[in-house]
Amino acid sequence: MFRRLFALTRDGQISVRLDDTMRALLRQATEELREVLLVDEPDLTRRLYPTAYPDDEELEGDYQEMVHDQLLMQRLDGIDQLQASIDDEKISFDVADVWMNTINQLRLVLGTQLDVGEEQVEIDEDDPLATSHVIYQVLSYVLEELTKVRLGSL
Amino acid sequence: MSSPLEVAEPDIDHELGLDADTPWVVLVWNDPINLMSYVAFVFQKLFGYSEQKANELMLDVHHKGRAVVSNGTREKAEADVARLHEHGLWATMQKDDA
Repeated sequence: MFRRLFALTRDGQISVRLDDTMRALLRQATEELREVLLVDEPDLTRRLYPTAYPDDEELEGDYQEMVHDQLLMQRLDGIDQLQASIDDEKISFDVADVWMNTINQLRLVLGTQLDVGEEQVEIDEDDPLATSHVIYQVLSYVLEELTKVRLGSL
Repeated sequence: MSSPLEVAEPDIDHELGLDADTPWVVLVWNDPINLMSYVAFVFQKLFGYSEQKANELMLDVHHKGRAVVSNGTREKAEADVARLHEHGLWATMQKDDA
């Protein structure tokens, strides 16, 4: 039975009710995300750097040159911010947005690796990627819960 | 995106007040990874859309495969696309030939 992982507080923040296992998972997964971002293997990171100009190769090249390193730096900074606040009992809305963004990046990388489709799949324990499927589902649950609370704050 | 709801198709062009003279539009495309709630949140946060408008756009993305979420000059559209990419959404831009 799932319990609420996040809640709005009276002082305009978000209380974090993740257990130690969940916090450790986020710390480890974001550290792995940092490695993925730095290695920048296109098979894993292509959803993090979508095409902006599908009809114009020259403009697309200029766009990627302009934003790629900026996005990379923002994402590495986001990982630092999430890891620095992962043990906090309360986080600000700004930090919550960083968590959401970073967790979503993890889902984009994992979802690409797992070739996730519209339908939810049954996890086969013998699948070598079974652990990744479980982590993907846990991250989806955490993001959904935090998004619901953040939407309630708007 | 998952958990589709059946709703009447919104008149997004009218809702957004798109100007026929502005040359570029920003499109967000459906993908199976981004959560519907997260997409609606990003639309509200980045563009200041109401909850209703953000949900209508999100459902358009889900049901029709894409939605026009903003428009303007090439520079404005490019800045909007970059912000959407920063938040992990699959966004593209193109000249508004409609």
